[in-house]
Amino acid sequence: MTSFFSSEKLDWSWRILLVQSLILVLFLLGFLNIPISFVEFKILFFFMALFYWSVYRPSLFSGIFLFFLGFLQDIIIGYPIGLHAVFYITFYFILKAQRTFIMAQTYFVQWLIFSLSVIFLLACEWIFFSLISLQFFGFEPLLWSFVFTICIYPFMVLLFIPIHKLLPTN
Amino acid sequence: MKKIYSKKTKLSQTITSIALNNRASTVFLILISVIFLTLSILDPTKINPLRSTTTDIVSPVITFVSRPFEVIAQTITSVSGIASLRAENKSLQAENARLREWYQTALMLQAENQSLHKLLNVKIDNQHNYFTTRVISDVSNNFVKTIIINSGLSEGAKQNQAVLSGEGMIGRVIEPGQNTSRVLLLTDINSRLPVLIEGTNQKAILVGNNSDTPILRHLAKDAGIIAGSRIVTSGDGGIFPPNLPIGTIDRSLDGEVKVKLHSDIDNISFVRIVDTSLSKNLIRSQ
Repeated sequence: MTSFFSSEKLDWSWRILLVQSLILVLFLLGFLNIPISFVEFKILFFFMALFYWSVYRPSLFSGIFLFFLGFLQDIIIGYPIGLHAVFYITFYFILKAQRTFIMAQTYFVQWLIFSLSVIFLLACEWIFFSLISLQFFGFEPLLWSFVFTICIYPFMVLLFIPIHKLLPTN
Repeated sequence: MKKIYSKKTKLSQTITSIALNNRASTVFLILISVIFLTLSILDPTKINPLRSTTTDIVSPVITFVSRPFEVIAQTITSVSGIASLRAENKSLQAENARLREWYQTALMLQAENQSLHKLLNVKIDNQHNYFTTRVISDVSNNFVKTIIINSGLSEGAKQNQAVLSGEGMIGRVIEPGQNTSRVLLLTDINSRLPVLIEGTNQKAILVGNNSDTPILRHLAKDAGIIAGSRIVTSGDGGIFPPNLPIGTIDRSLDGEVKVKLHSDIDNISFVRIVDTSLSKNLIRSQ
């Protein structure tokens, strides 16, 4: 009991809680009704966190946590339930398996891999929705989502790096 | 040496078993997701109670998180609006004077209309009540166009009620929860609405296409559509009341007639719900 509440553990717990809170805030940012938007599209804030932390600290996520978040996202947005749970869990395990390779690359190459992952995610969504609604969706909002997501990612990394340094090494 | 070797083997065995368990749990979670996915594609109504209950629980959190962003956006809007306040005031005064004249004309026409109805013994449609509610969240994205409103079954929201902004109809209630409801916007790819083109008496179906300008389908070839004609609900099918304003005809390109909605669907804070009951002749789907 005393070891659980030891000052060091509690300190680490607070730091991990900080990262988890940031991930949850990024997740919730996807649902905001911001009335100053000029084009209707969504920036994939949560996917940025998923990519970064799956590569640099996969222990922050777990399959069940991603399953729960994907499930929640589909329920709130109105997507068929389970779609994003499949996407997030798959991406997490692919990135986790390839993390040593990705970490060995330069920052520019990592950013390119992130861009390819975003394209892949958006393409999967596009194919899925085109198939179930039997008509093709427009590419314009997807293009805006892609451009804004990959342009904002470097700034998000600037936010993630100092938080990453706060975390324990193990 | 042997001890170190056995320790190493044990460690590798443990790692392998964890990895296998991990892989098994991943496959299991993906399998559950796929089952849910199949169920919600095949029969979305089965999932609706779960969806509306979860939305009821989560929406206060979304409201709480979105509050600071709304305040920032309102501040930016009000600061940028101060500069144009004088010009806006002047144009509003002119518009007010013009509307006063129209108000008198409308009163006169209403009285005339009522007396003509009486004279012809016309069965007048029921008057509808409205209730106003706040938009909690615009959860629209690249593929689905819906919003969540702060009224549910407890406030009288029901499935298929028409939802209007200050300017015109924007959608319909599709998932009423206990305290919140989901509204399918007219721009959504799954939205279909029977409409009437004022002046021509042409009927058509307004079809959402995930863009800001839905299109008109099933129009007669010689419809004689003119850009700027007003589109209102036709009331066909008995689900929505007739004559709710929707928008105007924007342009006709490649045989597709586009409609510009009166409402700016991306920037709605409050909506009105038409409190109407379905016609007794309609049979509810099971």
